[in-house]
Amino acid sequence: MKTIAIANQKGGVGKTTICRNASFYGLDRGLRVLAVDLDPQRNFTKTLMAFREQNLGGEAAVPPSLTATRLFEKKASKLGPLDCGAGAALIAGERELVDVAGFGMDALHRPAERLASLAKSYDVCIIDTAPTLGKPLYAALIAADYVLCPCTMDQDAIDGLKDLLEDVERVRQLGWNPGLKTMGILANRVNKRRAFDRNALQDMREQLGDAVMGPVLFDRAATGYAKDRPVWRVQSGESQILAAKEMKAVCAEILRKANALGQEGNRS
Amino acid sequence: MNKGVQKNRLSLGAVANLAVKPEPVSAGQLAIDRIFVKKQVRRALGDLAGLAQSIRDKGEIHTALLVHEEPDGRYRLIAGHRRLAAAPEAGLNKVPVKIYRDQSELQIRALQVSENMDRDELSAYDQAIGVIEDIASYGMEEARRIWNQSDKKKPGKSLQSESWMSKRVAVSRYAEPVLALLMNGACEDFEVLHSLNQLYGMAPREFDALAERCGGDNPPTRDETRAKVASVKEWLARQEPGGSPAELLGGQEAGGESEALEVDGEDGQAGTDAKPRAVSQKQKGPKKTGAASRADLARELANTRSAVIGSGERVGARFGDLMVGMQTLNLDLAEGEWVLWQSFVSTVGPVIAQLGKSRGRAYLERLGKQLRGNDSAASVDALLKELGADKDAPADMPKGWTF
Repeated sequence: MKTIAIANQKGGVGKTTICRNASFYGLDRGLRVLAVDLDPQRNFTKTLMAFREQNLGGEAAVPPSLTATRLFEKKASKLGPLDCGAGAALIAGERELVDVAGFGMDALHRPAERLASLAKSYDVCIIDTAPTLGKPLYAALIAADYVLCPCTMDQDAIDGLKDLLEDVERVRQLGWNPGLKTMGILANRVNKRRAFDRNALQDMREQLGDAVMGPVLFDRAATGYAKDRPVWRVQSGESQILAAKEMKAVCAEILRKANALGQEGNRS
Repeated sequence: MNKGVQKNRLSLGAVANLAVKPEPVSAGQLAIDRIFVKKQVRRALGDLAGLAQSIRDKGEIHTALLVHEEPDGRYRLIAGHRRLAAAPEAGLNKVPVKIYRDQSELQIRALQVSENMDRDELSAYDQAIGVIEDIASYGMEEARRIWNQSDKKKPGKSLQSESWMSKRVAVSRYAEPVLALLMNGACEDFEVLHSLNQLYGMAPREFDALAERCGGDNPPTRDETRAKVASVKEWLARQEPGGSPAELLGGQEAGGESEALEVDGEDGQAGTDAKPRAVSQKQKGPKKTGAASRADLARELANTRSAVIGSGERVGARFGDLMVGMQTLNLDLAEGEWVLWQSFVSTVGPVIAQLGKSRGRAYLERLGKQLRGNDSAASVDALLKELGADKDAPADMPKGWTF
């Protein structure tokens, strides 16, 4: 199982959007996907729940399952993630996640352990994080093989990026997850017509080189529609066609970089 | 994931503040001629022959040099100047490197400092020069970041302490001889050097005495140098307000005394021809440093000293009379002791009052020590000679004497 954390300490840069679309792309390619939502806002969770309804019917009961806060507790839960059908499973986010802040520092390392015990059952794990420096974010960095940083072309987002990259370094240098790799920075919602955006993207590539991912997501209305499905299944229109193409390219690149592809067909 | 690693007890906030070290992009072997040296923290490379031999013996350079890949494709040396310089002599034309990229000048500097500090490659002098230059180039806050050292007791530490920095900045104010001590490695303790620097300004001969001991078997300690500075300061302060010795001797003008000491004409002056004269000379202006006035002052001082020595002898003679008188009175043990003790204290007391308690005590202690070693007291004269208080003692200070 390859674990990818999606993180940026600025909100609204498109973390959850990437989580959603990358998960759907993985499923489309036949991978078993484990979605982990560490954001108390639960947007990623809502998408997976909607997906579940589509697959299992609106009446399907929701059995007790392993949820995000349980990942941090000392005593391992016996429950497993929630099956969402079509190869997807969910460790749901919840409001209680805010209580994790009060847990001891040992709690940072538990999600990594719990997820490791699930590794055989899934091909890729995608972790959504809250836009805050906090224990869940660090836990995600400790659990992940890769961290992807979506970033919009504004100064706050770029500053948040710097903080995040430093946190990545700290996790590595403290020995908490020396193998953590920065998959890259994903330029998101870039407005081609705005000079500021073009310049910011250019500067980013110059300063950070390969760290900036090749494919870029431009600002497309279609991306914002329909949170319960991938962009390429949103109602067709000019914006949607372009958005879909770009998003698929990005998702393909993400999974390729994570070496998660080539495991298709693991699902029965 | 590495589970075996110590799972810090730090708070998350402290972790989030840990300084982050940049990572090399790649590592490998690099031809020496592709590496250039821009500027050195070290002044001198020291004994390269020894290093070259050790490289030859090992067959390789064990620890990679740090280099920075420049935009033009060349590699700039960040750390490892000695190894680079010794490599050709050791017969190598390639060296192992860790390559960094896209680092700012500040980041390169921080890497350089932290590598050199880790390897203890910087002498105290190098540290001081490095700190001073970095403050000039980058400002104090960044310089504190560059020179930060991790501290097990303070895990979140990202800035070097202000006192650590200021001790090294102080080097820029050192007098030449003090700087020489640091440069030669004779003294690498900044607190001692600071005291020595103060001493140099106030009392060069005291400085010389302590400086000579630096780098030897009995180097001056911090306490010792500090105490010396304090005593010199006290000595200077005790002079008249406005205070240089020149002023003291020359400055007593109208309304002041016309004579420095009362002279007991009866016994005359032993051992010298000069008569004490009125000390008040009309000195124009407080600090005359011309050679002529210096000679005047020296003469005045000599006269005053003679007067003091003379009166000392007279007091001794009086004491002798006292003791003779006591014998004729047949006092008992306690009474006799009382008289002697009282008389002694009354004699020495006024002198101590002038010297002050701490110097008085220091003098009495030294006197006590000198007397202690001499129980097989020969004659009084021998004792006096021992103390340097006999009639024939030279008036001038022996060369290099210190208390």
